[in-house]
Amino acid sequence: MIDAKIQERDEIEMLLPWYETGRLSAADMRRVEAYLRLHPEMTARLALIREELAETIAGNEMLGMPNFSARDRLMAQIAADAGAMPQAGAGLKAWWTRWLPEGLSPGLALAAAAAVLVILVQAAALISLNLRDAGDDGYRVASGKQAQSAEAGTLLLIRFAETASAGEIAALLQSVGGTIVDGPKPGGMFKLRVSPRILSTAERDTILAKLRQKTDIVTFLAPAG
Amino acid sequence: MTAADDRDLIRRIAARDQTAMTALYARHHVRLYRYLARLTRNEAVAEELMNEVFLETWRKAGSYEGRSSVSTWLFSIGHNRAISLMRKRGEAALDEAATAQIADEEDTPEVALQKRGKADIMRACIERLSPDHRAIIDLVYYHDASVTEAAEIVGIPENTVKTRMFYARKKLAEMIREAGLDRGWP
Repeated sequence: MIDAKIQERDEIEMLLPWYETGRLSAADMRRVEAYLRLHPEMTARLALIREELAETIAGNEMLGMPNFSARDRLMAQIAADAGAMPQAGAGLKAWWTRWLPEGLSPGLALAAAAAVLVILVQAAALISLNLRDAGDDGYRVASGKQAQSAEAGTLLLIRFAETASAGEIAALLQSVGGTIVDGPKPGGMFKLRVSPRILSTAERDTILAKLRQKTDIVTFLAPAG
Repeated sequence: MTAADDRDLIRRIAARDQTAMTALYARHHVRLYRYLARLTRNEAVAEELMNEVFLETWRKAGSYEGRSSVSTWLFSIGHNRAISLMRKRGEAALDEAATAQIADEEDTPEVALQKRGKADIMRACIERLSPDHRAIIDLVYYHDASVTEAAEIVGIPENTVKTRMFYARKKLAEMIREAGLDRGWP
């Protein structure tokens, strides 16, 4: 008899969080209410649950929102996925996955692909510049074509909000020492040069972070080859 | 929007409707991101996992059978991916015993209580729970999951959901007491 009472109390206690959130079945709701009428001391536990609930909500709400660029990355992946020819895609994927570590997630695999693409494009740009700037004897002047090439330096792909004014865009570009070197491209993208040299990842990320703060002006941002 | 609207979005996504995918993302991405960020304790990883969940949804919408709500389905995929990643990194083993050590290196409970309010201490203790306990607390208190929904998301029986929630709350109460707040339970 005592065991049965303890068991009932334990069962009711386990249901209390859902009683407080209103997510119990109708039968369990009636069961808890009946028990609380007979054992009012148990209602003190509900006050503890309300405290836990309030602080759990507060902790979650403090997290904020995911970066808007995450949505752009996802939608670009989906658009590519939707447009991919299944046969060709399967062949390319099979080829590509042979080069990736086992167990790599699709997202990381795509990021790796993008990184390789950026490296290849940058390498191609550098080789091209070296060939163009070098004379027959390999001599290159300090003010070579590298400084003037639209493809030289650290480049970003950027899209501006339709509501952004020319003044806001100019001020933003000035704040990072950026110059538009190409565009508009499909999707309203521009190529933005933020340095005439290839910046380190840390330096580039600092600039990316600064631009990403301006969510009212920038709607897409990514490193470009 | 309702659960029925969500099912309609999934039906359209299965027919490769990208607009429906955008709508589904807009409807669920913030809560899913927060769940994953709290579980993994890493916002960048949470963003990556969130995108993987939506990409999987795009690719496998046709296999959705409608036995659970779309929200539960998304959270279930996200939970499994997060736990799998954490296991690979050895993070899933980090439990309250390990995090208690971290707490011990801080101020004494009295000093901590003076420096931080009750709410701060409670939030900090919730964040120091083990991944299993954090997940169930967040699902029930923040994401309004029923016993059945939490069981589907975490992949455990309903009775285990009830006992896990009970022990998560009990552990939380102990940690809060160790931090200088005695709430009289357990």
